[in-house]
Amino acid sequence: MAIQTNKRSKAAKTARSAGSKKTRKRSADRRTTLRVPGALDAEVSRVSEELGISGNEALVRLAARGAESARRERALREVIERRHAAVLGSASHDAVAPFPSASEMREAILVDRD
Amino acid sequence: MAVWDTSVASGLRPEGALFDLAHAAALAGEPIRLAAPTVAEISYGLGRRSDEERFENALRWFAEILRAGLVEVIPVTREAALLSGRLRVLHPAPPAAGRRRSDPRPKPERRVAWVADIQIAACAWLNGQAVCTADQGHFALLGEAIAELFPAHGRLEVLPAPPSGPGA
Repeated sequence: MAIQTNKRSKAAKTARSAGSKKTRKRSADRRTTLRVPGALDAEVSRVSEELGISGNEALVRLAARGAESARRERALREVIERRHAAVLGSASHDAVAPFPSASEMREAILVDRD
Repeated sequence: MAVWDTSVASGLRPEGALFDLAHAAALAGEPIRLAAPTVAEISYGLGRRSDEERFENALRWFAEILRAGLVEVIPVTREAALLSGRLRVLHPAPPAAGRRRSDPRPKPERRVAWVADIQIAACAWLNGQAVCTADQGHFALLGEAIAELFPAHGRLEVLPAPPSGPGA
């Protein structure tokens, strides 16, 4: 199913045919033609029927929900990346600062073991 | 969807409301998450009594739901391991406040469970998820510790156990 989104309103068509371009209301929304896969088209039809809206409106609503979901996922991914980076840190160790002795390190690390 | 800690996930049963909740979440494409230490605690808890067929069967069922992807398991990554160590430095032992007097576990086992709680909190926070728990005190304390270590990176959200879950 191919849906032309943002179809011209009847009034706009009339205005255009009358040549009154000044009065024609232009939408800032982008116009596009989509090829809608069968599986998605079935959902578009269902939403359209359930809500009593046009196929165009149903498609836009579903796209808006998808866009919101993608935005949330992106925001979560950013939080995850920032937290991982914060824990891992970026500072390198001081090459000249002293270390504990080998036995001190073992004792400190193996504190839970018998 | 939140990370269920062991206090909640231990209530998963084939006929239980928690299972229905997990099933619905998985169908919605947002499966419940368990941190790997919770899987270890459940596997240990059931496995140590697997000489009884009921426990052996419960463990097999649990493995099946993991295999089926009904719940998603969050691994202990290098970051989670690093964070866990730092949290344990701040809180080496579980808080005494809120401890049940009837808790029959010996001190070493309570410590192991505390380390698991620390790892669960680290896994959840690093993955931007809330922890759903019947043990609000433990995780609130760990949330404060994370905020103390990383004040600019948001808090660990702690949610109560689902209404049908343990301790709710």
